[in-house]
Amino acid sequence: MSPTRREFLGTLGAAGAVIALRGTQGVYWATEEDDRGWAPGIESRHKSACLICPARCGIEGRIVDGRLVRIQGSTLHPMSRGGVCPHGVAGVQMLYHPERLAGPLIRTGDRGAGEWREASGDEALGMVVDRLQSLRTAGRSDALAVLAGYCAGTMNDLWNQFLTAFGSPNYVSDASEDGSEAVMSLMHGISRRPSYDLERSELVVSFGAPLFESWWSPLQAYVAYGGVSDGEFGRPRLVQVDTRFSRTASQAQEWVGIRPGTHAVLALGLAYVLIRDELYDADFVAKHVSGFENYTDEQGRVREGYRSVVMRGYRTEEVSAITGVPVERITSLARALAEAQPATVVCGNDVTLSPQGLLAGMAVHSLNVLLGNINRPGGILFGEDPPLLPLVEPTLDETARAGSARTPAAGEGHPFGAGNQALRFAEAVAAGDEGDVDTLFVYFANPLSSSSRPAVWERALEKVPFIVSFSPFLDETTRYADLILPDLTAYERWQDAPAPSSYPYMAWGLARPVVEPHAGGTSTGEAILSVAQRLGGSLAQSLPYESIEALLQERARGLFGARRGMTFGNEFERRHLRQMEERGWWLPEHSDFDSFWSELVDRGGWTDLFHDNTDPAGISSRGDGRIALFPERLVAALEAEGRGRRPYVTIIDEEVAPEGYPLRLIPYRVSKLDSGSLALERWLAEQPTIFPDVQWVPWVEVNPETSHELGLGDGTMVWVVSERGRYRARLKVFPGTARENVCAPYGLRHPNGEVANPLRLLDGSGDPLTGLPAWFTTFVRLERA
Amino acid sequence: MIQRRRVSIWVLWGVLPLTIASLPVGVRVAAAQTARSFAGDPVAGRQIFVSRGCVRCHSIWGNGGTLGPDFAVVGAGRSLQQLAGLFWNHTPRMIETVRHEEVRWPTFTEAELADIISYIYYVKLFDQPGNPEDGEWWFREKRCVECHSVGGRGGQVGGGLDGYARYIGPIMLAQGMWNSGPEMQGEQVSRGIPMPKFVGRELADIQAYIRRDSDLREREAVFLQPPNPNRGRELFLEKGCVACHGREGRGTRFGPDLQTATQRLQVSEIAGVLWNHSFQMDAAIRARGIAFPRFEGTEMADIIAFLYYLRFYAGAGDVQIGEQVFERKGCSACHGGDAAVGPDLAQSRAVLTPLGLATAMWNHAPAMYDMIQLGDVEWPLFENEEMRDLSAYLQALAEQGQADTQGNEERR
Repeated sequence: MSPTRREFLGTLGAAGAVIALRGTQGVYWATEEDDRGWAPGIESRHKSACLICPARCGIEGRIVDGRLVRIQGSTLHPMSRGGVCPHGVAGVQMLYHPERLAGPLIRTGDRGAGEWREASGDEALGMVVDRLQSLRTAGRSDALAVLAGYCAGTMNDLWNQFLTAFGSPNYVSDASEDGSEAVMSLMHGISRRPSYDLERSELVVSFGAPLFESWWSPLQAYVAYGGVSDGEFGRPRLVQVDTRFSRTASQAQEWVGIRPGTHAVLALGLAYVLIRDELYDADFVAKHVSGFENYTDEQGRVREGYRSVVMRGYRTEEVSAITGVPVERITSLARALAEAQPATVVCGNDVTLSPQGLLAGMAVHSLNVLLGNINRPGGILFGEDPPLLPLVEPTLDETARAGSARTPAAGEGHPFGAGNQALRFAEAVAAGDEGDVDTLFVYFANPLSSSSRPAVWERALEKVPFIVSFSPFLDETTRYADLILPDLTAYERWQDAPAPSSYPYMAWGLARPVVEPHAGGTSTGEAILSVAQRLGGSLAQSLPYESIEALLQERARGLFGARRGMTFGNEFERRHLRQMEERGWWLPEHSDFDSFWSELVDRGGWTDLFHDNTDPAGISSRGDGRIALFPERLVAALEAEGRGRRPYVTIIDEEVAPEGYPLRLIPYRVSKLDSGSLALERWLAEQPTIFPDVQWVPWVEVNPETSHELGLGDGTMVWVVSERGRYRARLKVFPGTARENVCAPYGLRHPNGEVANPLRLLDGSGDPLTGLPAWFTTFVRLERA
Repeated sequence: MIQRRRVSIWVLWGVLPLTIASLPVGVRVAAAQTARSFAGDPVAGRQIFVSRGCVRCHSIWGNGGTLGPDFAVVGAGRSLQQLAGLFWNHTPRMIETVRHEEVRWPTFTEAELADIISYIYYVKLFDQPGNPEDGEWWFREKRCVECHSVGGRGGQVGGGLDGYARYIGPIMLAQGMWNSGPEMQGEQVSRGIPMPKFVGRELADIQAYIRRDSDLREREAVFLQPPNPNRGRELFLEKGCVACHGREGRGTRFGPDLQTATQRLQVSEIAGVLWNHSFQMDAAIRARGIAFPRFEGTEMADIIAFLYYLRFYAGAGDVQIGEQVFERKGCSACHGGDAAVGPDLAQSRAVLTPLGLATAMWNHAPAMYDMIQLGDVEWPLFENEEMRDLSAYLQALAEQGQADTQGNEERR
């Protein structure tokens, strides 16, 4: 039945009334009013933040009748600017996933047997409180540990505040590290990852950084590169130095194929040309850099400087022979770097996840130093944290003081980095006595799937009497839990979402509930606050916040009082803010905090796009104010090793394939599946990579000639076998893979849930300076499955 | 959407006082020029610029649409009445554009128009950062370097200037110079160093040089809030500037006309003008027993804003010339006589203030455009001070009309 004109106009009238009343809301109306009771639906849109990966992009949820039906990018977010990646779009499936846990579960059978009983949130939290109370009573507060995946902003502060007040030093990070922080700390004296002003760069040379795949923020790279920027700056040219023809390489203007593990050699080969042809920024080097020329160290010894090392050891012909990059390309790339005003060199995992990772990372970064691209627009910047109010000063009782002073279970780490802290923790727990770690909270981590050593983790978990998982899904590690307190998704809870370290400007996104929270779920942040209140005493005093929303609101008072920045705004507003601040002025837009907070929530966050490019602290915070090409502490540590290693001298190892394992394994993260926790999202699992015919089933890539020699055709199911183990995958013949390599995506599962994790095949080597694993030193063979 | 509750960054920056309308015309004009507050809130104007879609066609500093002119270029520095005229003159093209784009004609209240005009006027105050290379040269050329150091290089007599690196614009540097002026100038005289004069962007360049070469580390950049011309007016009185420059800065026999001296200048340029006259001023006021004024906080910025805003009201309009404009531009064809198509302006309250007139003209522009199209009449353009004079005439007309009406009612 078609609506009559009167009915139609009546519907429009109602729609207009609703629009008028609800502001951004609209009406999603049925085309027919009939006996089935169809009625106009209410549509609304809310800004929020995506919390699936570290990028923390701005999103806008489209809600129809209280259901989230679509996730789009928020045009107001200064970094993502309306873009959203497949992760973000697929968040709808995470929210309504049929396998999502309905509520808290308490284990009733043996561990891993999958026998549970349902519990109320109150009972579950009570169980946690009783356990923690007994630990504190026994003076064993350090027997509590938190294993957390990527955790930034207030959730990170909250966990640390809780552990500090409770009295445990055991905050264990399971987040992936790229080693760049150690490089910056040594060379610049600044302990934070570098930020990249890609948008203002003229040329970006990426050494194995997966800018459009699994980088800190692929959206940041897309905005700079893909023409969705504010149009304020030109589009940079991208050169991708990579061992394989990756998604990033496929979108770059130029792909420089290179032998695995030789990126640092190429970087120094480029440095050779820059120095030889006097193309480097001599003024910058003279003013801000130490160690370029030969120098006298603290012991009075004359040491060879960077110039001499490079000129002596990295002639283009030799570099070409090692890296496989032709001399002409080395020369032309070096000249392009010198001509670009400015250029940025981005160092990726392919460089730092190697036995000489720290030294290799320094070698690559030294190009930025030579070019003077530090603290310059379009170069490497060191970002600032948003001026949030800190959490209250924690109250420490005697138990807390004693517990926090004890040695962390994971040990003290490595000389120049925390390395693989989670694996160290697992090894220590597995080697210790049962109950050394009594209670383990598992938050956004699934080491039984993602770790390179799941067996170690299994042994470790067996030694922990009480495991609490906050996962909303029954993943591999959660199956080992004694108690599950399923978290709410990003669309149902409050949480802040600071932009990742790669983004050079302050951007504090805010995730907030856009739909009614899942009845059985509990926001982990709220659970921490609740547990603290129930424990009482110093815990309650240290976390005196009514809710996460109240906590975030309190912290945002720092933004309100900062007299800079603005709530997220459109393109004009962003540029206007930048223009005003670059002139030294700031326009106050809110007379009171409440209106500021309302707008911040409505617009999805706060940002400040000013960076002080004149502050010398943005170049180096070392005592002498200079960038150290030969950091004393590192040089001393290398000398103490007695292996004769020196920066820029020793940057690669000779590797020989073991008998029977002729192919080098090249693991890489695919953009869509992270560490495997997202494989249950169907949209992601079926989304093709750069291969339109590959989906659902994990694959490995081999060169056509290798395929031919092995007699394994495209689509063949194979075992990828190393000395440490094997896994099953489908063979994909691809000319973008070098003949001697097998490229293996990380984070995939078979449709039956079987994990296909190439990291489990790794040979266990790593960089002793940072503790980071070596990903590209393992050799494998392929067998027909 | 959340409605913004905006800060009124200067409380006195309100709409024009209506009380002046009750005064006799000749007296009223003079009073209005001396006592009125500066109208409009530029922060609110910036928001209106976005929310009403001006930004789709117009830009500020190249930021925004490209269809219309950049307001920071064509609009800035003009008086309120000139800006109102500018708005009016471009309406035919804009009407055609919005109709082509099927966009609604943006209408404004009087306060909103004041805000947006104020914003367009105001942006000129905000200088671009200076050039550090030029600044380094000026620092040497002006011989600042002989007494002051930056980044450890330079003289020690006057101390280091590194602390100023936390400021981006030159206002605080200028204020520091001003406050130290008498001592500094005494020292220069004793050393035989000529008094430096600053013109153009030299001060901004020196500030940029200080920022570039300063040793100040982990500096927290300090952003100044927009200066407040109404506060500047108060300071102008409090600090005794009026003693030589008069209440509106138009000069007396003791001091020059600052409105003329600062016409169309930007912040750093006005700061330079102030500095340049400080040596003479010190001697002059000393002779009159007046203490040298010193500034704190952002007082100098407010004074500069006040001086900058003196041109916002570009003097009183001329009623006779306004009447000629009314006739010459064809306004009387619709708004005067018995054959009036438009409203009788002698009975209009909208024309009692310049902003009210500008608002009414803007809001009825599309209707008038259609009428003019039908009559094949040329769109009237208002150049130079024509809008100011027209406003004065219409005000006088309306006041007379309303006085007549009131008299008639009283007689009845």
